[in-house]
Amino acid sequence: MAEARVGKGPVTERRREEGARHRRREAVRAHHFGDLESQVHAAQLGMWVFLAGEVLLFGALFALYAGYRVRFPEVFGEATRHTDAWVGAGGTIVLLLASLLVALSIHATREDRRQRTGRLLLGATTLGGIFLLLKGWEWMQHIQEGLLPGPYYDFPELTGQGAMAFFTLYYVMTGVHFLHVTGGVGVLLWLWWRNRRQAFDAEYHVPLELGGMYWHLVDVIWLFLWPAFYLMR
Amino acid sequence: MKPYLWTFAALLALTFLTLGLSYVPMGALGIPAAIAIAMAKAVLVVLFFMHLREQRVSSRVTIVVATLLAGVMVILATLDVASRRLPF
Repeated sequence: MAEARVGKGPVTERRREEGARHRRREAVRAHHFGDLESQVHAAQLGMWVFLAGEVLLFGALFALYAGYRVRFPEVFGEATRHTDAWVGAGGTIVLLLASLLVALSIHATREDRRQRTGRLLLGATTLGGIFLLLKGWEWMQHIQEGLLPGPYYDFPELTGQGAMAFFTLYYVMTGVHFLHVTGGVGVLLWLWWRNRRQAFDAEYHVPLELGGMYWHLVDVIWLFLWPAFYLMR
Repeated sequence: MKPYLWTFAALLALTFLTLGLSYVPMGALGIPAAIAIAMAKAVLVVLFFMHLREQRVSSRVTIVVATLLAGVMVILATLDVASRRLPF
């Protein structure tokens, strides 16, 4: 494989580069795939199927939310006034910015700019950490006010039927999302490490693309959690 | 690099739009407006940041079908509870 060459003719600088690219593609291709494109496509399709499952998981939670919201519309609207829309907006902007950095890091890898990829991934990881801290701080505020889930709910300003359901759903849905962001931060750190070990280049960077897709999906889910628990007064 | 920056600018604009609208009393329109803006933002992220725009049809089918089914689930749950006679 080391001497593999593409086509015939005199060995020019351009042909040498093509040969190197060809060897790189062959090195990462699993033998049961005819070419690297099929392998990349299979990986992307598999990731989309996984993300489709995530959509259905959160879809079920949103169905539960919608059912309770229709049953207790006034209390749900009132309860939304007790979460801070601006803190939610801060989380939204932090996650969107992290998504931008992840998208730019893949763009940088496609241009073979490894150091830039690393810096962008570290930036996105930091923003993910900031989101987790913000959410944790917000939960602490709610807990001090007595806005607790289920039977522990103890908030005298809002006692109507359905208030408990709202805050139980709030903790479950933002909690499941929080776990996903935590996982996403881990994935971004791992990608940063792999990139540092020169695992990705313009020819092959499937793990970076798939990890990026996971991060973006976590971002998309927050785009729906924010209006549901902070904006729909 | 530019398409990513434009996508981000659009996402940011929609974020402030929905935040602003949440302070405007719109009655029954408030919730559909917030959902529509969230869906527009989700489509931007999926098409541009997740590169669905440049991928094959089979990749699109999975996520589009899952999203539609999640939508059916939410709508049916809503219709079920809304059409019951209280107390249930």
